[in-house]
Amino acid sequence: EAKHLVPGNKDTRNTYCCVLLDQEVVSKTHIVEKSLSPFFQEEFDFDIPHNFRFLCFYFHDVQGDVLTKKDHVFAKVAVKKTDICKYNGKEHWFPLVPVEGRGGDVQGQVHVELKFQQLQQLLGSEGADIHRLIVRVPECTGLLITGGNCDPYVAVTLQGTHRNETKKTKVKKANTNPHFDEEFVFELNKNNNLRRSWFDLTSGNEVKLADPEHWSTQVLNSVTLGDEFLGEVRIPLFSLNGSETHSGWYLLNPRMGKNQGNGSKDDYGSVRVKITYTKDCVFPSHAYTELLNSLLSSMGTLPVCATWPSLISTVCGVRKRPQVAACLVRIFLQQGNLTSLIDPLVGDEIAQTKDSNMIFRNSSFTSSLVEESMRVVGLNYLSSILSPTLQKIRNERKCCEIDPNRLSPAPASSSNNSLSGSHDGGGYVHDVLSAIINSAPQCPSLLCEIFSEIRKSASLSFPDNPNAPYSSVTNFIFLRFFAAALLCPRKYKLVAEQLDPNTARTFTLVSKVVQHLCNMSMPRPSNAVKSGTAIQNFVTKYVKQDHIESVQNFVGLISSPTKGVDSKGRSSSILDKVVLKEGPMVKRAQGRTFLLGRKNFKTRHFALTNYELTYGKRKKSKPLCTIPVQDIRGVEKLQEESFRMAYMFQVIQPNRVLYCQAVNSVEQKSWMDVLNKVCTCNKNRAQNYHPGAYVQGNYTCCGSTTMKAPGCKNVTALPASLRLNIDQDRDLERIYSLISGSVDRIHKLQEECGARTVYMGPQLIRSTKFDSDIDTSFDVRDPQYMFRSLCAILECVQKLDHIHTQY
Amino acid sequence: MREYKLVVLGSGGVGKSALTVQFVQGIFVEKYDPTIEDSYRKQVEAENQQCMLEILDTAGTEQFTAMRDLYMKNGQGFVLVYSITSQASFNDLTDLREQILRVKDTDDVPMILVGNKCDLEDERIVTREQGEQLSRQWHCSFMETSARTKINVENIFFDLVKQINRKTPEPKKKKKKNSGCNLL
Repeated sequence: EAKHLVPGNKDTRNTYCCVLLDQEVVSKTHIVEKSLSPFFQEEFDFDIPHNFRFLCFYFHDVQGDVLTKKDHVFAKVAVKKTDICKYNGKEHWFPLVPVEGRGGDVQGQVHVELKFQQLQQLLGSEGADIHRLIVRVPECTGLLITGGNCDPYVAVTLQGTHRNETKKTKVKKANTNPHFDEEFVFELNKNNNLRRSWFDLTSGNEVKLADPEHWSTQVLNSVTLGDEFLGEVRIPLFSLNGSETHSGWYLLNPRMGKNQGNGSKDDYGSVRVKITYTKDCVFPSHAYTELLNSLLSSMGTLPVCATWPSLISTVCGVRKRPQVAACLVRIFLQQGNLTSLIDPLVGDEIAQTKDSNMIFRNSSFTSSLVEESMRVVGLNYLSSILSPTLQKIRNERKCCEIDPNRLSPAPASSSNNSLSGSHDGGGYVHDVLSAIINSAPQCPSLLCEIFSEIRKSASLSFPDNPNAPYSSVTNFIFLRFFAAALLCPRKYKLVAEQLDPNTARTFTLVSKVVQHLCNMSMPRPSNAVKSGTAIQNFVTKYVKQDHIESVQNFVGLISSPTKGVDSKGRSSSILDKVVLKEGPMVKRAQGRTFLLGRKNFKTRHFALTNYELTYGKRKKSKPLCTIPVQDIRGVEKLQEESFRMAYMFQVIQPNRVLYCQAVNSVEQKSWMDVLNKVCTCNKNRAQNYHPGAYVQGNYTCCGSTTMKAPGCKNVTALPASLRLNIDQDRDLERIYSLISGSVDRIHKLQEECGARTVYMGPQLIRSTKFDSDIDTSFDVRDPQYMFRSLCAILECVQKLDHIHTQY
Repeated sequence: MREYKLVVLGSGGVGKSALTVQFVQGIFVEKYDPTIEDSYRKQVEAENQQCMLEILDTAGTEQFTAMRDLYMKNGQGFVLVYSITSQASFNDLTDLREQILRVKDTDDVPMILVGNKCDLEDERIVTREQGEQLSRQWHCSFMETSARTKINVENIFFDLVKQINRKTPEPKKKKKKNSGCNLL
């Protein structure tokens, strides 16, 4: 969210926020209308495809309707990459700064070579030396495109105490990585007492120099690229060494002295952001063999609290628990061993719970594991059940409300028509409920196995209470799955974009009713329930006794052990078509050999399933083209020069090549990764390819004139591990770094285990000692086993530490 | 009549709904029904003034933490509930409080720490001293309550109203200025 934004022309703003890596927009929020403190509540999660210097948040203001739409940036925050660690994982209010037109940001680097030359004066009687400064500018890279083009040139300015001397390179048209390779010679007058030089870069036709008076005492060199300022570098000459050639790449900087000073006293508002940045250095699989084997083998052979997964979660603390759980679920799933991880923990947790009402009400490591399993295993199931109704709700866009306090005051005056403006959503509730109730056969068998274990443990621990097994299952399938997905549909990938407030409210209401109905359907109902709430009245109006029975049936079915056995019929559902990734991209008409026209590029909605890559005019429309996965021989980047378009990649097929342009580099990487993943097992993978495109009868890279000419470059070698399971290694690395970040807590826990074994007084310790640092109070059982496991974990982590330091 | 937006937060199963329903309707809900979110309104007299309390009873389940942000933004006073029978529920509150302070971007937010289920003395795990110590650390009020036996239930909400009044006194209604002359 943002607050205290500076109002625009109309005292308010329609704002959206863009997330940028350097200058590239990676994602956008929805537009919040008429607010100076917009609340976005959006989360973006992406792999970073390249190095970057700044993570930026730009605030845009949108005015006018579709025709007269004006969109401009009015404020921003730029967080340096090196500063991200300061804010990592925590929310923080960042002060906004204004954006003056363009040019607030700078991108790219310049390569500069400097050399001093000393020549003996031959003619003059004084015999003074001539000092020369030779500046060579070989090239620049990654310059910013402003106003649709980038025609850069470099102006080198040597600033003396009395005068400036500027020399310029030629203009390179439309090139963000220009090669200049020009050399300039400056005669230095010794009296000038030259100390420093600077470079200053702009683009276009005119040269703008930094205010020389500002630097009157300093001598600097300046490189400028044209009309529009692209960035500058100032190099102090005194730092250069005698006659050696000084050569270096410099990051371009914003114009000095311009943005400073003004604006510091004004408040441009602030934005609350939580940035979580993780960088993992993943080694080949064999580095993790020991960690993996210990994780797997500790389950079942040790007391539950001394197993590795359980200890890792304990030492990493509550905050990192979801992360630990997610990694472990993926690892065990990949090993086909998920139940061996979850079953013992479920049994242990239920056995530890004293009050039957409290089974899985609190969040625990076990509940995190089950939740994560439901998310990973049950996502398709969830979407097949809920999507039809959600789509309907979104299309109809009715305003639903059942809470009288929330109804707009207008209908209140006419009591007999109190729901006139809105609709109570009874139909939707009915649709969702019947979809859920009838879905038991589709529930993935792995989930059924987990639920059946939960039910079994609960009825063992609470044999006299029929509610316990029931509620322990519904606390997952309803509360933490269906209801949660309805409340946060984006998180569960049920919808792609932000919902408007009315639709979101309808989703919330449906979610509440679903949960409420589940609460009502306990096998042994109790009398006192919350009454008089709007939701209560609503539910009694729509829900009949047979609904309640069907809910009980459903819960019984998905948690019955017999269901798990005949999993043959359902395990085939893994082979169902699953959409792995979809979204819009620009593609070039396939098979064209000449005509390099804009017309050949069209935006299409692409969808990749485990069977094929398709594209059509829009989402869900009939595919215009279908490429079977086995026809994908490789996926490679395409040189930008081929079409002068960025973020392009090619899908190599037996007879032709599909050229696609993703919307940004994050999307480009993500598409290429997922495409590579589906086609890694193809036998006919290409050995070589053309980094350029086939345009106007030849390849832009090697000039071959036949389209089927063999590629001129070897395909990018996939990392050996990608072919097997890069994700698992990545998860194991994550687990390692989570543990290694909590080594001091391992030592504390070891001490505590030691103390317990020696003094034998767990109760005593707990009651006498209250640790003000809550994070360090542990639940210790079986201290001897725990101590031994902790030592083993430490040992394993130290080995991995060693590999990391060596690297 | 002034409106007060109060939010009840805490882990799952600590008795947030029980406290709220006991206060609003005067009954004890025996059943443990997980809540998604429920809002209640109740008119009370506090500090010799009629007030309208809008109480938001929230979900304790971790899945719904995304909603918390919005509750925290809109709420004026916060009831942080733990159960004296659960150490974990007590520990979870530290993060909750930090989140509230960060959302509000201030250190002074009307807040009360509540240890519920104090009728279950036999199962007590979190001592009264621990609760008091935490509340001193936070500079906020503290109460042990029981929704079942109706101990301190009303005091929670009255204390919070008092805190809100102290922090943000009701803006006095502007008197209409009599303009010097009227143009007819």
